[in-house]
Amino acid sequence: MKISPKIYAKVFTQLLQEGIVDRKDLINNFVRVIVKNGDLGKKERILDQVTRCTRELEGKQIAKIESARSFRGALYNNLIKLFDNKHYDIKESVRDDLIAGVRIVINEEKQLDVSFKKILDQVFKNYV
Amino acid sequence: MSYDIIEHLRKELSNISVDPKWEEVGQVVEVGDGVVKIMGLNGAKSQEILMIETKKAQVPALVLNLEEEGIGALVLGEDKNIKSGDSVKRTDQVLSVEVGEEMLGRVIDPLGRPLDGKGEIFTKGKPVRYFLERKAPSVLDRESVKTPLHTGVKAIDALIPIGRGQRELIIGDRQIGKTAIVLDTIINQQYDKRREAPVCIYVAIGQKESKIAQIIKTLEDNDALKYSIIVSASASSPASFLYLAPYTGCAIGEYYMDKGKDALVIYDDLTKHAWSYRQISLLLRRSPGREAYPGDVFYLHSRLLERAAKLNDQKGGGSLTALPIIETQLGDISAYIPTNVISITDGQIYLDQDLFYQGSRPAISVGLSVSRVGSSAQTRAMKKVAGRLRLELAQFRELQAFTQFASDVDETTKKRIQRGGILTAILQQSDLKPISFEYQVCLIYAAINGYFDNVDKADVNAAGEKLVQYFKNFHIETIEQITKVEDLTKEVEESIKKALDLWHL
Repeated sequence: MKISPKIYAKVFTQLLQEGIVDRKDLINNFVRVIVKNGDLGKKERILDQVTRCTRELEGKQIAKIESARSFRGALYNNLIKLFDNKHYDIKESVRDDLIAGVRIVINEEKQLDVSFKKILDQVFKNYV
Repeated sequence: MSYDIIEHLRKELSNISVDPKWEEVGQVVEVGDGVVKIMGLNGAKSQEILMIETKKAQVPALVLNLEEEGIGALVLGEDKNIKSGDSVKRTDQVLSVEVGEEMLGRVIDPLGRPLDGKGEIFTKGKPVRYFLERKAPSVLDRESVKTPLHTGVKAIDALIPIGRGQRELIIGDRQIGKTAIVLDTIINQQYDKRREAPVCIYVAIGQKESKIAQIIKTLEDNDALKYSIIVSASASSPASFLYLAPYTGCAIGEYYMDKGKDALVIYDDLTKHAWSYRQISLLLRRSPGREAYPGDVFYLHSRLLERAAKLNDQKGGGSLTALPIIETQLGDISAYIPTNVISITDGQIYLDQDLFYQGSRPAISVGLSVSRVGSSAQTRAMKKVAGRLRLELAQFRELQAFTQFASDVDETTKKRIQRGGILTAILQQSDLKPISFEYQVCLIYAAINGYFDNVDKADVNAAGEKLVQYFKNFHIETIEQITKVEDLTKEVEESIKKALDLWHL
């Protein structure tokens, strides 16, 4: 029977929540089961699902702030204020292909794109 | 020129409104062979267009598989820049193509982009968007096929007539003259004087670029490109383009049908279309069935061909005729895809390899070919002459089989066999020489009434060509009379007879 990464992640987080098994042992056993089932090829997707599930469990979200260049100051502080530390893990990265502006991605599921690249894409959409 | 571009850009940039809003995004987890696997985008719909954001450009993809763990999508463009981790956005749009009157005479790809180097397609009018996948007209919107679509091929127009709105399959082995028949059909549309020429859409699926170029040139040389549109998905195109091409052709045809016009769409060929769909399905890990085709391969063609229709007057009275082509392997018409398409269509024209090697052109096997609805669309003039032709040919085939065993035959049988040979020869025709139905009526009338009886079988075809020239030069009023009444009335028959008597002398 095929076990989907989602099922692996669900079972893992449930056991983690119950706390019956030691955390270290649980991780070791989890990896062993994956290897035994021949699902090591799916490791990235399983890891992705586990991250999602544990995040859900902790009630935390990942806010990825991508900007065309590194920035600080009042503008940065105002932006950071939107994501409090209790509910968000903030990750920052520089992406020069955005040209200008920022892009905020939450949990790799939704994004707010206010970059110049988006405007250019919109302009050239009709020409490509 | 550069000033124009700058001005245009300035205008565009000043009109752009920045309206930031949250968008649903996903991530590419697997990519290869024109197919991508995407994680996330839980709200994506089947057949929706997604935009993959690569470092270089945005690449569209079409959602085909909605799975528990993610989405399987078909890349509609270059997949070499896509890499794992690229973000994917929804567009909330399903696949559509821009259509309009300016498409006539153009060569486009399955996404509607020009391929002929003649620049932008829509420069004057505003195009309309037509969905590639659309529901076929309902029973109530349709009416029966009643207007003929003359192919200019004697054997077809007389024995396997096609009507506007019909779906007639052309089936046969490779290099046997399938494309030649459809090219003759396209060229012949300009000779139908009583009706407006239908817009002809030729969809090349998996053909060699050289062959497509040859087809375009042939249409151009014969003045037929002006009312034709070529949708090209050549052998070098990705499987996604081969899969989409027939739907694009159909959508263009529907545009004309909805406007109350007649359109003819040729799918050359659906075997390669099925192959491309098989490739995509296997890459998307859908379960393979018979001959490794997926389970919905019948639906793939039935939903396409069902869109061919003759609409009733309330719906504008337009029509969409479909001529799908299927390539068989060693004449095996009982293979999976041929039987599927035979059962979907309203008849088939079967091209026989043995006949082809015997020198028969077109190599149509009259016994295996059939038109289920076309006879009601045949003109009365043709119906009257073809009725006798069919009967005499059937008797000839029976006698021919009989004489293979018995060499001694009576005089009447001998004459019948000779007449049958002449009738078979009169139906011979070389490529790119379509004959309009009026001349066909005169030729067949002459053949069944013994005007060719004294001609040697080998010379019948040449004599037939001379007869057509004779009518063109000296009895054009007879031809005009046939065009006008489209019937073999007493007067028309008298007129033909008179002309033939003079020719015979």
